[in-house]
Amino acid sequence: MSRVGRERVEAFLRELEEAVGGAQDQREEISDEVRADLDEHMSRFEEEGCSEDEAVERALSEMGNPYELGYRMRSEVPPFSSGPVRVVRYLLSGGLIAWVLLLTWGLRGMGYGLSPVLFLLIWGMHLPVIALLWPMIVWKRNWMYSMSLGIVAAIAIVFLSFMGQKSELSYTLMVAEGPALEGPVDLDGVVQSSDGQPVEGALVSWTRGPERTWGLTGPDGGFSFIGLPDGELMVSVAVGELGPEWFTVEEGELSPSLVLSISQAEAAALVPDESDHLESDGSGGIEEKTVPLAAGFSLFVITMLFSMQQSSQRKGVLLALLAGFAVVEVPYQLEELTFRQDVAKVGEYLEGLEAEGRSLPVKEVLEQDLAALGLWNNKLRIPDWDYGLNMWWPRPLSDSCSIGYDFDDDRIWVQD
Amino acid sequence: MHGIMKSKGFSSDLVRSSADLVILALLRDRPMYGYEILVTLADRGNGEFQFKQGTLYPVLYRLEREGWIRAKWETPPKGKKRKVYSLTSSGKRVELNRREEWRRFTVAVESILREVDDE
Repeated sequence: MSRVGRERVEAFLRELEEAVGGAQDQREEISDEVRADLDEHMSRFEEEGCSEDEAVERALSEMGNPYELGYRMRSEVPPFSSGPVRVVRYLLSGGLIAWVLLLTWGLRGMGYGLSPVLFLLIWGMHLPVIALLWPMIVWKRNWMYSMSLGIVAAIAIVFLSFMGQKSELSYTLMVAEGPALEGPVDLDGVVQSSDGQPVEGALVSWTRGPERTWGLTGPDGGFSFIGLPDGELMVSVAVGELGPEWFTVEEGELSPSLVLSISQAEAAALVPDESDHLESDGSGGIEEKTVPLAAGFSLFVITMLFSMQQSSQRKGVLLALLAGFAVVEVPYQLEELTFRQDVAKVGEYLEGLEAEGRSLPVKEVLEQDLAALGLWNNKLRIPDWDYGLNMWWPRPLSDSCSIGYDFDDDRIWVQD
Repeated sequence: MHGIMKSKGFSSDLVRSSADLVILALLRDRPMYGYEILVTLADRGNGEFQFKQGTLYPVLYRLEREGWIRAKWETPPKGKKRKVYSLTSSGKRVELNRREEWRRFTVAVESILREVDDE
């Protein structure tokens, strides 16, 4: 091809690249494809008898205006990004996924059993951020159209997070007086919301080493423990699914007023509270305001993202969501399965004792017997009878929580 | 997708509605690069289907974005490096559906026209 002809083609391609915009490698790829096709098209015109100039003229003419072509391509092709932007995108995405997994992992440990709703809530609220980082997932025509949903959703996430930090989430543990210096002591108190209203049904517990017991506050928010051992105790208060907050009670020292603040705003916004504890103070309760909102919002986001996606990407995102769900859920399911099996073994052992008319052996013998049962978890323990027939298993996967089983009530729960 | 093709006898609306189907149908036979698609369309369409080259790329990119075709750079033993498009499994399903839909459509339209002619 003559120099003039080549220059005309290259000028066309430069204008095309300018109109396409975006990352250089993406522009060059489009330009290379068009150049190769143009060359072949011009060769064919020349074979048909056109002069070289005519061939160039006709081939470029069939391409049309380079700017118009570039704009149309740009509206159809999800934009690539430059190298540094891609690195940042990968880093942010990795960090976000790690954070969401951590959050889901932690919240999952606070409950017993499958929790797909919780999973959907958390991932649904974070998907918009993924869509912002990867606009090509939902690419439609231009940046504004593609990013609008993600931006609205991100603003809503911030809004919901702030809702989770409402003042109702602060509670006060009031105690009548500190424990005595020596001997068994009584501990009385009341749990109040931040506006001074008593909180009924808050779970107040104390623990020292393996010893532990708990009680629920009454309608007046009050609780009472009688004959506690002296020495340092850990006291906790949990309201619904929030908390617990832990306090150290040393001999003769206990702050008469301890404020329980719930700092995990997202957790507060997301974790459904099935009890009415928070509603008893007349403040409406966080679950009343945020959980339906968060659930509805998450479902809306997931539906919108799926409807906007290309068919090939839906499968990928669905697989990614399922993988995320499996990463969180499978270990907890295994843990809970083994706990149930351990409970069954210990239950059989205790029924055997009862059938033989024997009382519970001393601690050392009990420990030997439990070891002989071949339990999955050797940290499983049965506290002294004085505090009820219970089993406790610190969750290996979330060591701030324990799975508990009450033989009297046949009840499994998670102490978080 | 205005001005999608230069047609001798078809309205632009008609050819626009069939653009996806004819391209997918061509790629079902074998992978092709952009210019090859243009030439093959013109040959098989008895000269009736003549895409302007500049309007082909947005259609191809849209089909690729939909996940119905995929692109891959290939260098033949003799010749230049070309961006070759092939049908994905999803594209094969879409092509079959569109083909069936198109046949039912043409039969229905033909039936209507025949009745009108009879009257």
